[in-house]
Amino acid sequence: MLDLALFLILLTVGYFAGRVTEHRHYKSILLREKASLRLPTVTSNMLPEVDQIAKSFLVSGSCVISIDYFKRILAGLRNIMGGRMTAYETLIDRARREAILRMKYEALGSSIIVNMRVETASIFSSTNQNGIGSVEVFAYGTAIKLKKTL
Amino acid sequence: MKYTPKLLTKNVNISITHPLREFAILTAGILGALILVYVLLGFALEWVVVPRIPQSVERSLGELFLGNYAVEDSPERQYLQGILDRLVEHEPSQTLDYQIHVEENPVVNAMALPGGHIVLYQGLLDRVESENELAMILGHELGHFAERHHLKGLGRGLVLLVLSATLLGDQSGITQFLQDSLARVESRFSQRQEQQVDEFGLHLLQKTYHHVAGATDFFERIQKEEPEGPLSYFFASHPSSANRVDFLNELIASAQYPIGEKTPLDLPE
Amino acid sequence: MNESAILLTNIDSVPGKTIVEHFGLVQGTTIRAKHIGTDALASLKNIVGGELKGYTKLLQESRQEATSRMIEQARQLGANAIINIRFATSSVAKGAAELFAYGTAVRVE
Repeated sequence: MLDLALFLILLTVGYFAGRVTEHRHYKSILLREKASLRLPTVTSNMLPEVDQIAKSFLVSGSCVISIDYFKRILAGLRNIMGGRMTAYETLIDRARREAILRMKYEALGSSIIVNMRVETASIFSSTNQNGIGSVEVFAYGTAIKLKKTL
Repeated sequence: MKYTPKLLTKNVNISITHPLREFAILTAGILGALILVYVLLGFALEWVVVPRIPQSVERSLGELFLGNYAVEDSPERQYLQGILDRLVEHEPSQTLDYQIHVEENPVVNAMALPGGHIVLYQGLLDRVESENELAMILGHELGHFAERHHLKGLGRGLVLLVLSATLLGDQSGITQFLQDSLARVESRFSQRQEQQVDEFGLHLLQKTYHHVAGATDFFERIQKEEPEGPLSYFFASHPSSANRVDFLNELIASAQYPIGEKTPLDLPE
Repeated sequence: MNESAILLTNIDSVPGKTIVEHFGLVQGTTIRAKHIGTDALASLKNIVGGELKGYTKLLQESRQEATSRMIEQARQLGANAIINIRFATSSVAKGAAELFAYGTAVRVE
């Protein structure tokens, strides 16, 4: 009986805390994406003319986001039934967008980030072999600063 | 290259289903499936598997469990065995080789182990006053063997646990939950089984002694010693003593069994 | 599809067409799990070896879904082609696969 009560408490705490964190994070992400709209990132080699390039440097951003208890249980249930894991979708989406924003922040003042790549890793917690502990996203690319036109 | 900055209007990478709704649907689905499997397993075991378990298997299972208990002979044990043998004579369907074992433990309990072994604890023997009472308790245990309750209880819980451990891993929360809850749920079912077996014991008492004096004595005595209320019995494996006494008295009245002279218990030291 | 299909390449351009403008990064991601029957069968296959058809199908479905989500994002921006597409697979939980598709949305003529 005590185990069940503890489980339900963790579930409720996880659900509400997770919702609040997610909501706040998304608000922050949307705000920053709007602000950094003028700095595009592309996955291709769209280099400008060589004589216009003042500086080029590697930029990267990474982010590790952890899962809350409610999402972990939901994902476990989904693992049994099969189908789309909606619990992790928001997790990974947030982690990715956050990593890309941090990469953009490192490249402030540049005009474009070229050849961007993204690596995802899942970090399993040592105590719980069954589920995911957290998601790590690492984004990197080359930032190009153009010479100031007179 | 011309760059046109544009904000995305909709986040395509997430789903719009509300997590609570999804949780409810998934839990209901899985719980439903589990309950179905459990019920079907119960029927399968009861009607198909357990009747087919041969006596030899049951006897070797008994050897396994018996390892924990003392097997020394004593005049006390032989006297008790004598009472048991008289009872067994009057129940010809019994085919196991029934043996009594006495445990030097002040606990008030008796157990039926696979293979025909009945364990009586010292605490129980100290509280028994007439031979008829003891015969009632032994008859109760013989009833467990007749219905093969111990095998049924073992079987269902074990199969479910093995299934869950294979599919989900033994560290999974669900497997642990099954392990704990199975012990409790199985004791709920066995309350009904216990009642069934009390009835068996009563009929056997009548057949052996031709009266049923002393059938309820032991339980009435225990009832006075128990201070707990009825609610604690929800998860216990026996029905509360008050319930048992009432049930037995009802049976005695409806079958109109006579009440004769009780034989005192003459335990050798 | 109601409009003309979006052109997808994983090189720097769409051969035969010129890129007029670009809209930056578009990404599509999905996480799917197979039900417990497939997991059990996969555990058995661990003994004999061979192709795990259930999981192959799972990854194919994931790939299709991730790509279509990426295309939907590109459509929102008004692009008609996506260049330099890359795919990344990662294992997120036991029996679940996450697939990430990303590229640059452009308009070609």
